[in-house]
Amino acid sequence: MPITQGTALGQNQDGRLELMITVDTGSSDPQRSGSVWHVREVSEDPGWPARWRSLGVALESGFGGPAPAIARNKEERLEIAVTTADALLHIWQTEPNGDEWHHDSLGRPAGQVLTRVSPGLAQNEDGHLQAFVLAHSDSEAPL
Amino acid sequence: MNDGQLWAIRQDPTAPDGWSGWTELGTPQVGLTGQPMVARNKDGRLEVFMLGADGAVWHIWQDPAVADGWSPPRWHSLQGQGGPFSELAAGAHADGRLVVFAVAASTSPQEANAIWQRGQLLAGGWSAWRPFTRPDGSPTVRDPALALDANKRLQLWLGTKGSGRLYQLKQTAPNSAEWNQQEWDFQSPSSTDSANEPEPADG
Repeated sequence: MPITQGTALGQNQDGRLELMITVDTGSSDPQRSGSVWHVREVSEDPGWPARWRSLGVALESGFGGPAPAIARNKEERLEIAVTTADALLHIWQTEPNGDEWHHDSLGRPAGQVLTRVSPGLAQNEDGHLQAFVLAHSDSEAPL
Repeated sequence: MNDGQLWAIRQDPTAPDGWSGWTELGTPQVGLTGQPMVARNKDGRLEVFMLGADGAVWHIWQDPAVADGWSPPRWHSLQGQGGPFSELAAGAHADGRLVVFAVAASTSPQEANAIWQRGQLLAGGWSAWRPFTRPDGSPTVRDPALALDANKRLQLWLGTKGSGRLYQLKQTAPNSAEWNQQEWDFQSPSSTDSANEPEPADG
């Protein structure tokens, strides 16, 4: 049974909720020690599946702390933000209600170090997503 | 870490990679901790809620009347009883009122680990902090997550410290103050689920 590290809740275009957690799986394989798992509402009783599924996106070694953040983008696809050691990642459904996910880095503010807490993510009224991170100045950065 | 600031990045179809540069949104003097929780007001303005290092909930909101687009002078505190808090979640009722749930820190002079809520009022402004139903049999909750479901009822999911158990609290009707509770223990992914699957920690 995984220890829940952080939860986030989002709603698919078809109305079904999607619950996500970050987990430290304890795997000895550093590429697999951290992951995002999810479950999606189902129409059959009891309303949710029995098992987590992995998003299939490998996070860096030791990941397992900050919860992801979820929002729906202008194209009605779920999008997730995750804070890793050196960058904010975003992970998105390739189609509404789909189960294929792609990801990319949004980097971090110049000269800043990301604080290892969850990001924020929401859709503006004009449909554009906005992500929020906590960061502090990198004292070791060259002036 | 009191020099932490909140930063934002926004989708921008005119930018080469589809996203704007990073914008600094500052910090209250006490410093910020924890997750920025973002909700959208009924009129479309985003509002960000975060815990300060003082354990209070602080918020900042979009204000189109201001040059930099955010509430002057930036950060405001939702003070009151119940805190200091260790975690929070924010969302909106079906009728558009924002609501914040916060978990009392272990150092709370009142009840540690109690859940409190504070919400926008239909007439405007905010309610006081009020105690919220605590899941039966839940010793310590963490990681609150909040969203509207397909029936326009808010659902608040809570993790538990040291286990994988999750509590699902669901409004009995849109905008209702009554909530139902259910417990879930989802199992680790099966090893055939995906090529990228991490090994289950234990069956």
